[in-house]
Amino acid sequence: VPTVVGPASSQTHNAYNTPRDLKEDADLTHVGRGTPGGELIRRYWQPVAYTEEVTDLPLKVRILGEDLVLFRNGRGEYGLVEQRCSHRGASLEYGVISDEGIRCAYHGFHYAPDGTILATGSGAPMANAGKLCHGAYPLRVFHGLIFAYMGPPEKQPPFQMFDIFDDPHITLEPGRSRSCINEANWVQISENGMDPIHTVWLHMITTGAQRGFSEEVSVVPVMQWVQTEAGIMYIACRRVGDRVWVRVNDKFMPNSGMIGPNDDMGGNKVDISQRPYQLTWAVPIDDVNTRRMYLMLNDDRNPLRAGQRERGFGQMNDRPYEERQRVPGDYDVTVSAGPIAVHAYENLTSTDYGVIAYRQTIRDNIRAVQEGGDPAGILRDPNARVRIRTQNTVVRVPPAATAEGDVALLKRIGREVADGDLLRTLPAV
Amino acid sequence: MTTTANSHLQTYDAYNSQRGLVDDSEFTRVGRGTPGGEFLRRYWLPVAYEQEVTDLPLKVRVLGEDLVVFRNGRGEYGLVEQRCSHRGASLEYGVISDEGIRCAYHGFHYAPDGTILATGSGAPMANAGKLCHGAYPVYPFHGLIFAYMGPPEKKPLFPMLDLYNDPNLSVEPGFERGASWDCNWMQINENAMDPVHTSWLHVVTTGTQRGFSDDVGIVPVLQWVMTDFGMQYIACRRVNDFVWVRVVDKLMPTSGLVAASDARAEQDKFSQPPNHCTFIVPIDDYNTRRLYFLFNEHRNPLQPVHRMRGFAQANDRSYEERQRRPGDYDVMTSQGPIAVRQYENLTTTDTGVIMLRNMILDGIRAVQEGRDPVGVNRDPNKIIHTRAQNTVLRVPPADTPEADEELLKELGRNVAAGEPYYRLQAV
Repeated sequence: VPTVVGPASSQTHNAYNTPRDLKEDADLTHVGRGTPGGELIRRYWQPVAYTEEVTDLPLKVRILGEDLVLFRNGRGEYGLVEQRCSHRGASLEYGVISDEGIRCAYHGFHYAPDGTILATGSGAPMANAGKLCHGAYPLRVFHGLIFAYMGPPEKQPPFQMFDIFDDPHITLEPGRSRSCINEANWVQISENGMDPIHTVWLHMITTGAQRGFSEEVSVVPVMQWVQTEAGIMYIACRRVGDRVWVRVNDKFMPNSGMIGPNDDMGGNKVDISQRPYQLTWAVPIDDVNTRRMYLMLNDDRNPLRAGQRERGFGQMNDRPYEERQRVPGDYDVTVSAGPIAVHAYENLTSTDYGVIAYRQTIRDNIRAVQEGGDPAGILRDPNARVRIRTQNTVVRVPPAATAEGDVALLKRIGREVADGDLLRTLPAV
Repeated sequence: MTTTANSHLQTYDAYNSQRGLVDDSEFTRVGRGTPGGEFLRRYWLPVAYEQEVTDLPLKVRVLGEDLVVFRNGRGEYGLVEQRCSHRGASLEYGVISDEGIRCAYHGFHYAPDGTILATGSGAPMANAGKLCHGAYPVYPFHGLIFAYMGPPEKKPLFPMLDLYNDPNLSVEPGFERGASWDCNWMQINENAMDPVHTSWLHVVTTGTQRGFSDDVGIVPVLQWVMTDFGMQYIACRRVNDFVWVRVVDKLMPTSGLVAASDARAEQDKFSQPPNHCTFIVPIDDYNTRRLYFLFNEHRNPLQPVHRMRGFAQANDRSYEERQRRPGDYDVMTSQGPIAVRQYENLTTTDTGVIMLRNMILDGIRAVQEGRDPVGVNRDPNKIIHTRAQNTVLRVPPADTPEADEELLKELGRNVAAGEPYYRLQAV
C-alpha cells in the first residue's frame, strides 16, 4: 500500500490548517545538467526536433533547460550546438548556414556540426586557436526524428532499437502532427501513461466518451503493473462477455512509452493482437515545459487511420477555457496540477500503484547512474533490441464461476499474454 | 504624526533622494501566517457573486490562495482548495454532482465542507475516512458569497448591519460595479478614509468627475472618529446657508459604507442613506478585487449610473485619457504594487489614513495576543448600527470663520452620533 501524505485534515471546513509551501521532489523532476533526474535523462537519446522543422534557417530549440541551435549544413549534415557563439555570445539562430557548418552573423566565427571551430571570422587568431571547440551534441536521424545524446561523451550508448522495428509489416514515420507542448514538468505528463484508471474516469465516465476511446474502455479493468527490462508495463484486462481484452502498455526509462489504440478492440473478433501505433516521448524543454514527440508505427495489416495521425483530443491548450471546463482532457488535468506537481500533497490509492512504481523506477535508475552503472534500457550491443509487450489482445475466455475467481482468471491471462508470444503470432485484425 | 520623509533641504537634489526602501508594513501581506493575512482571516470576506457561479466550477484566488467555488445540485455552495487531494488536478475541471464536486481525472468526490464522499475508482485511500479535502465555510447573502478563511475555532458570526433589515431599503449585489485592481489592498482601503482626495482628485484637479457634484470641491471641515466596528469620517461642507454633513463608515477590516457623492447642499433636512457597501478583497499581495452591495432606497431608487462601475474604477481607459483625467484607479495603483510608506510625507489631512493604519495594527496585535480584533462579533443579538449618510441642514453661518468651523464640527458630531437623519425622516 502506498505511503499516504497529504492535506491531512481530520475535520471538515478546515482548509486553514492544510499544509502549504510543500516543495516538489526536485531530484526526480528537475532536468538541468547536474540534477539527479537531468543526469538520468541525459543517458538516453532524446528526440529534439522533426527533420521537416529544419529549413535553410537555424532552428532554436530548448531541451533539458539548455538553449541550443539545430541546423543542417550544405552537405545535409545536422548539427546541434550551443545557442551562444563562443566568441562574444550572439545567438547562432541568426547564423548563416554554410556548406561545412554555421557561421555567426556577428563576426563570422564558423562552426562545424561537431563543434570544430573552422574559422575565427575576421581571420584574427584566437589565443587558444586549435585547442577549443564550440559546445555540440551528437545527433542521430531516425525516420524523420532527430535524436540527440546530451550526456557525458564516454557514456554514449548505441541508438535504442525495439524488436518491433524489425517486424516487416511495420513501417515507421514521424508523428509531427500529433506533437504538442504541455506547460508542466515531464514527470506528471509521462506518468499519466502508467495510470490506466484515469482512462476510465477522465476519458469515459467524467463527461462521456472522448474521441479516440471505444465504449469498452469504461469497463474498470483488472490492473497489474510489472517491471520490465527497460521500464515498466501495465496490463489492464477487461471482461466483455465471454471475451477478455488484454491491454498492455510499455513505459521505457526514462520518458518514453509505447501505446496501442484505445478506440478499437476488434469488433467482436477474438484471437487478434493489435500492435502499438505510437512511440511517444515526454521531452523536457525545461523544468516546467514538456514537448510531446511521436514516432508512428504503421502496420500494413491494420494501417494507421487519419485520426491516429492527428493530435489527440485534449492534448494541449487548443480549446476555449469553457470547453476545457465542460470536457476536460489529459492536458487540462495534468497541467493544472501545477508547473511541477508537488507529490507531498497527494493522497494515493491502490489504483495509483503504476504511478508510484514508475516514480520508483526512475529513482532506482537515478541511483544506478550515480553509482556509475548504466540505467535500464541502455543496451551496449548495437544489435540488441528492447523487447516490447504493448498490445491489444482479445481472447475468448468464458467467465469464472465467481467474481473473485474471474479477477484471478483475468490476472493470470493478463500475465500470460504480456509474457507470451501472442503479440507476434496472432493476426493484427 | 510621524513624518518620515523624502524631502530635501536643497533644490535640484534628486541625486540624494532615498532609494531602495522596501515595504516593511505589517499589514500589507495577505498570505497565511503573515500578520496582515492572519488579521484578515478573522473576518467574513466576499469571494464571488452568486451570479458568477454557473453549472461550472469557478476558480477564484483570495488572500493568495487558489480555490474553487461551486454550487452543488442541491444549491449548496462550496469553497474548496483548487488542487484535488488525490493527485493535484485542478477542480476547476471537476464535474458538479448533487452532493458536491467530482474531480475529472479519477473521480474523487468532495462535499462542500470537504468531506471525501468517494475515492473515485472505488479504491480506498490508506487514510480513508480520516481525511478531508481543504474547504472553507461559506455564507451566501444577498447575491454575494462570503467565506471565512481563518482558524475554525475562531469563526465569528456573520456581521449583521442594520441596513440589511432596514425596511426603507433593499439590498442587491453590485456585480456591474466590481473590478480587479493591480495593487495591494491597503492603499485602496486607505483611500476611503481620505475625504480630502475627493475634493482634489474628483473635482478640483481636472474638473468635476462623473458621480460627483460641484459642491464636493468645497474642502470640508474633517473629523475622524473610532466606532465599535471600525471608524468613520465626518466631512462638513458649508454651502451658503446650508451645511452638508457626509459620514462614511469603515467596517473592519476592509468594507466601507458610502452615500452618493453627487448630492447637492441646497435643501433643508435632505438626507440619504449609503447607496453602496464596498468590500476590498485581496486576491494576493499585489492584486485586489472590489465587490459591492448596493442599497436601493425605495423613496429615492438607484439610478442606472449607480449600478454601473464608477468613473475610473478600473483600468478601462486609454493611457492618455487616464493622464488627462486621472481617477481613483490611476492614483492608487500608481502608488506601486505595494506602496512603500517610508517615502511618504503626511499632512494633517491624512489623519484618517494614519488612524486606519493604527487601527489595523491594533487588530493585528489583538490576533497575535489571542484576542478578537475590532469588528468581530460573537453576540447573535448584536446588530451593527451604521451611520453613513449624506445629510443637509439649513444652518446659517456663524459670525467668524473660526466660529463657523467649530459650529460645523459640532453639527457633524451630532449628526454622526444620532440616529441617521434619513431614518428619522422615513419614520
